[in-house]
Amino acid sequence: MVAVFEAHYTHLVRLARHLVDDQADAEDVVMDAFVGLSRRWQHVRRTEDVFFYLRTSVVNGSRSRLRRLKVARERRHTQLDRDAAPADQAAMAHLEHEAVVRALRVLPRRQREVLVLRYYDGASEAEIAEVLRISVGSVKTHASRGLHAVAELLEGST
Amino acid sequence: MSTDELELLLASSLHEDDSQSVDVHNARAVLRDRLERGQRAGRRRALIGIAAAVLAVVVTASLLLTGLRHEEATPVRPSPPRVAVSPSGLPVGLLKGTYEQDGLAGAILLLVRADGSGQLSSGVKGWQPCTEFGGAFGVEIRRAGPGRVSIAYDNPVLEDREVVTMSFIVRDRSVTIVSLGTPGNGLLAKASADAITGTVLHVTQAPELCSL
Repeated sequence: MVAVFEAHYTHLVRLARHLVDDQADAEDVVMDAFVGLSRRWQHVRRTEDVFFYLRTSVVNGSRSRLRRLKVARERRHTQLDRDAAPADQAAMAHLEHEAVVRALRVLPRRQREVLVLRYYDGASEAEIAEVLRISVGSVKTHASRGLHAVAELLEGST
Repeated sequence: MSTDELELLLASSLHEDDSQSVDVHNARAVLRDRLERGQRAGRRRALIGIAAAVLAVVVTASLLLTGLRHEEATPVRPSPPRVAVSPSGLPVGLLKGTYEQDGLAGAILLLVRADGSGQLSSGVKGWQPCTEFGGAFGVEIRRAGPGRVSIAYDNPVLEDREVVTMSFIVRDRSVTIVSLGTPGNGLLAKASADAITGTVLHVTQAPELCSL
């Protein structure tokens, strides 16, 4: 259990942060996933199942946390947008990255989850389908629409 | 921007913050604390469960014991004697009922024995079952269907046994005569049969009727 924690905690916190936007929320979600895993530890038969379980728990936990904090999150987004508005920051090198991350936040939930799992976690379409319990075809559709939406948002912001 | 460029941008944007450290040490302590709290809560739940089970057993046992003591203390009331039923479906015993015919009070008595034999007697004002003109006839009572019997005049001397049919309903210790059919020439007059229909006969444990 300790080895699993050391191996996956950091990566999962970063993954969760892209799904819930907040570091503290991300850490809570990942902690919940590990607590859940510890309860089922006796039933774990294959070590490769552990990461799948944790990743699925993090995605589901992020989803429910976002749902609970939806109102607060919307207020915070408005504040972030306002903070990012100054024109002098547009020249900064990482602004484009921030714009991408901001664009991700306004995507529909499924599209955001698919893009984060695909481009942050490096999960295959089949793995994403298993985690989100949707078909591979749906994964492709959400990925395509998500990418298209991000491109449009980036174009709109420039 | 091409799709490849967008995918590359997306991946690099998402990984931009990866250089920021994550406090694994603190997280490990938090996880340890949460797991210990979870174990304590689990033990507490188990103890509460055991205590609840013990309490349930004690309460059930005490209720059972109280019930047994109450049962012992309560005097047993004798149940009313059960009414035996003859093969015809009529209760065994003396069935007595009263009726009215032409403004006069009448009575009907039907003795039913367990072997199917019996006695029948009926009459109006002034009639006494054990007088010369009001004695009971010996009859043979046979089942003619559910809630239906045939009552035949049990006298081998007579050619015509004058069968009377009677439909009835048995309730507890009473018999309601639903219908009476009679040839009307001796054993039971038609007018009497009409008057008797609807009469409720009460089952009693009376001795044998006197006969002619």
